[in-house]
Amino acid sequence: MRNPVTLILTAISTPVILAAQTVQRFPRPDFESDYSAPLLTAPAARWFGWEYLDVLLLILALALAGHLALRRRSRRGLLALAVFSLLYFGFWRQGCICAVGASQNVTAAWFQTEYLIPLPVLAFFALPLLFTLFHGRTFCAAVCPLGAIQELTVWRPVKLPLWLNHTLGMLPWVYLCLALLFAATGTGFLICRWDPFVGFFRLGAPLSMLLFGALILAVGLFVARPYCRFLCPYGVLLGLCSRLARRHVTITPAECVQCRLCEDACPFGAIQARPGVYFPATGWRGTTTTWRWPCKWSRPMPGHPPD
Amino acid sequence: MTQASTTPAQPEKLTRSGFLRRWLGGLSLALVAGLAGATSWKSKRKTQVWQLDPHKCVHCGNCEHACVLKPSAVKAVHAYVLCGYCKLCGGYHHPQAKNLDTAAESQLCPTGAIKRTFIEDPFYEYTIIEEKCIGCGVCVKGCSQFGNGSLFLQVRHDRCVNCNDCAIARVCPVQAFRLVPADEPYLLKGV
Amino acid sequence: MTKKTMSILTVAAGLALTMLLIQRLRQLAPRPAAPSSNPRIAAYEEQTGAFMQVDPELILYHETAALRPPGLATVTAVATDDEHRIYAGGGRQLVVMDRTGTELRRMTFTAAVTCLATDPQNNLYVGLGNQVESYKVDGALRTRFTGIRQEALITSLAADGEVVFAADAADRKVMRFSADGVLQLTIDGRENAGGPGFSVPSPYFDVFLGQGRTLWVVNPGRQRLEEYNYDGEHIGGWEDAPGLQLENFCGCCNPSHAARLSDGAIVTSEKGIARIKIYTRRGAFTGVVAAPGMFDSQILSLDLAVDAHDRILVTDPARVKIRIFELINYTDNHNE
Repeated sequence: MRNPVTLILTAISTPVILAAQTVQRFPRPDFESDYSAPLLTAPAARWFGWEYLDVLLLILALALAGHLALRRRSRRGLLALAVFSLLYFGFWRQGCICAVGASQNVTAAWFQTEYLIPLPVLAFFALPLLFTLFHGRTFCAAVCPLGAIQELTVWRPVKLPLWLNHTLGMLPWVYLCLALLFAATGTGFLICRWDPFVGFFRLGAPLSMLLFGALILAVGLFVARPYCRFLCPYGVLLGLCSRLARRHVTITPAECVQCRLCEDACPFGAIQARPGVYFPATGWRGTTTTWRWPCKWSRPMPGHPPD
Repeated sequence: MTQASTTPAQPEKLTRSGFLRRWLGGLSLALVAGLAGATSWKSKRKTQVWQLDPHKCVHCGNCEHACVLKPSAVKAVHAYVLCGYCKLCGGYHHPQAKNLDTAAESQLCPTGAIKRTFIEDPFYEYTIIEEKCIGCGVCVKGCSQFGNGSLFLQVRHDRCVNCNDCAIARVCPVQAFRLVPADEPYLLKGV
Repeated sequence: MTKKTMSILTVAAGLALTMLLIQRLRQLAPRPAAPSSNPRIAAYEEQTGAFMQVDPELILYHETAALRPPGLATVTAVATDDEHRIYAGGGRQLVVMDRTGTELRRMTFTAAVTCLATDPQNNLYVGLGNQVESYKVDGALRTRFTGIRQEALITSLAADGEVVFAADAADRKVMRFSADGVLQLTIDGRENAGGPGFSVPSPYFDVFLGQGRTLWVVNPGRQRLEEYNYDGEHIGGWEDAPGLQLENFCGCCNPSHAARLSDGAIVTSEKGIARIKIYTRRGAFTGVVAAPGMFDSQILSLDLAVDAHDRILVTDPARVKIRIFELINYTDNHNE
């Protein structure tokens, strides 16, 4: 699968003529005809300005996601952004580099002396974390292509029992530890190796990769965003940052009538009642619901009871 | 679709947990920024790309199937400067070829991706037709065994998608794959 | 079942899955070079491997000794003289051994030794890329040859005491020198021979002396051996069909080395498929000295030398040894 633009760029840029003809290991035959050997040419490398464009678009997408979630509270807007992210970061840029995998590069940079991390990769690791500290996990909501493909393929979400939700929620920690261990020891990039969707983005991958991706998508028809919730190692870091975020998407306490239908409606089981918060619209005290993007660590957030 | 503002109905009061959260938030902000800053010491602006060292390569054939691309981003390259221009070419002719001609059954390449051109007696030029090459490395094996090793494999960077974790590097039996600077993306023979 | 036990069970299942995953990853981890998983490569190896089988009936020689030249990291050139001294060159070093492998003398040069030869007076000639030096039997320098191009690559020497022939693979010509190292004549295989000249696609270009003041030149790109008189006139020779079959010369540039037995028969060595064979002076295949299975690698430069008792000395760079082959039983194979 070639990018048409890359092809054009390759075509217009002169092929690199390599200095292969300067040193000769063994003399070529003396040709009596006026034959001269073709130069050893190699196609120019792809344009790496893409990577900086990626970083720019990542910043814009993160800012827009924050704006849509917190200020506009626009589900439709977030979905549209997710579609864009899926098309651009996923299918167009073929899923590499992604923030989820970049955590391994950062680890490798720290533990392997010879490994140098490209700046765009570092940006892909750090920017979503920084934005999460301000806005919550808006990256997961609409910027991550892995999240987007799952978001768009939820069909009949079922609500998992709380205990199962919590138990499976421990898997990302295990996965993160393993991935960082593998990256630190130079054994390999576990997250990339088991990236469920990169095979779809590239329209081709080893069979095991494609099967794993198909399995995740199939499960995702009924259990919304299974990779994000029960595997994604970067989600662990985002979750930690999210707990400390300045702002969050909330159920508007001023208007909430505590019907609590939203708790069942949330396909990710992320809206959970917590005691201790005052709701002025009904004078109800004792339960609040925090509404946010797939995140397991709920905490009281919105209104505060009047003293 | 709720359109209401998120602004709290009442002026927010700083509670103990709120204060703690703010403080921890600021701390983690500094932490993430610091981590990124510290890591940038070991960063470089130029991207690195994957390439295989032809001097390490044992032409095992894994490049053909291990790559995420079909056909592989690895293709055969010909260093004319090393070539002997022989009539009988170990990289071109099938070991059981009856005749040293250009018939399909005389050719080693499974896709007919090598073009033979007569120059003058007894010299022939061999050219890789890159669009047809699938990177199996059979010609490289033949050339290395019987010839000068002028055919070798390279990751072609008009095709390579530069995976974070190169799928071929993972299965390369001799660790011939490594990251090279993107502005010098080839490791060539005969240079 | 309580929720707690279910929780524990799930964690256990998760751990088991993780273990499975790690197990699978171990299998994927880099392994030492193994037979290829690519069927194309496997098929190729099978096809070429079929030509490496040799009918034991055809093997006329057996290995009687394998000497490790002391102190050499590699061995690429060999010569022997009338008193059964063995000269082994590798890198910039030369070791002189007696027939049991005991070191007699050692010499170090400024360039890598590319070829060796001796003459009937037991003088030694050493090819060093673009130089040739001659030494007396006691190791004293006799002369340095003159008239060699800077770009030359001397791959073979042959000396009869009066003249010395040096094959220049870079120029695809054979030079004739006087015994004291003065260039007398250049043979290009074209003008006098009326032929198209020597085709040397790779740095293997061998010469050896025939019977009765003749010179044999290997024309490797044409799988041919050509006989010249001392004035460079083509007087004979033969051509073998290229091919992997035992009686042919394999690859694009073989034989890589050749030598003559006392009865005029010719010993050849090949690279690509490492094998040493014997042909009559007229080019009829008579038998095998060493089959491919005797060598650790198939891509070897197997330099040859024949001693006064028709023992065949072979360099084996893979094992860093001089391997010595002797006729199993006397047969009429070598007689024409």
